[in-house]
Amino acid sequence: MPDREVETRELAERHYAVEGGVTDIFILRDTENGVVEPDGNGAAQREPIRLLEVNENTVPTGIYPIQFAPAPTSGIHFSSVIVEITPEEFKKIQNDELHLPNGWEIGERIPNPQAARE
Amino acid sequence: MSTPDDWAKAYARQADADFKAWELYQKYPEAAAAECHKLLFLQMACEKLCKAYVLRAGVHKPDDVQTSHGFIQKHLPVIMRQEIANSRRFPRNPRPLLSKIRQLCGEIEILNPSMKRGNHRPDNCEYPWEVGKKVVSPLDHTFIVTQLLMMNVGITFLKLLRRAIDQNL
Repeated sequence: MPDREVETRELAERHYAVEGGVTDIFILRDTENGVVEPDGNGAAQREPIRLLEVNENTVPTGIYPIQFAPAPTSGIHFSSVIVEITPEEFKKIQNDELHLPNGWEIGERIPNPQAARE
Repeated sequence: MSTPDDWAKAYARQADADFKAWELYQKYPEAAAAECHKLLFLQMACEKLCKAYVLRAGVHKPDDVQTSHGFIQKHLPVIMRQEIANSRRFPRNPRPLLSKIRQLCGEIEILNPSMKRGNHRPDNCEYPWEVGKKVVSPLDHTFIVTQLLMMNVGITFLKLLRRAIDQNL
């Protein structure tokens, strides 16, 4: 069975590798739909991987999640939802001036493996 | 009741039709009345594809996105990045490629006449605009997009765009 946590990290690490402007990637938890942690079991298997990505190269437009289909041939067996925001928008979320969709919360930060090497 | 997937698929089909028009003009350049018409189809295909991805996530409703613009510069680089990240032949140094794709997406976005970047970029592929005291027609304008599309980044971009559209049909 695909390992949700492993694939979440793999996807995030690929995004760090491809996009130089991505400074932080966080797991988004959907508390309303009962999926709190990427535990690899039950309902979590059907829920998409959700990532909040802070990107210095993007433009501010507010919260517009976009959803991708699974890509099993490249090792990603879950659909994924990406919310890309600017660093300024991230500050607004932290200050409660900009809001994520109902029930979505910012979870663990996935570190950039390349940053550790650089 | 219609689902986010139904809407996403419908937008992707429209994007596919627009992009097919672009592809036909590429194949039969004599059929295109002008370069700006070709670019109009490319811009529309990109916009509808971005909206398909937004609608699939189910957070925003069709009415929220239908008449609004500004999706290409924001979302198309993310879509292209996902295509690169999931590619079987992961490029050795993908960052410069994505950086150029981001520039290209920004140029495609302003082909829409409503996206003027605070009047700094009135050039668009539909309506004439004024520079100084001279009226410029899209028919006579040399678009940066056209130049970028002829470069390696443009060729890669068009392949990734076709793949992204196909995956949503």
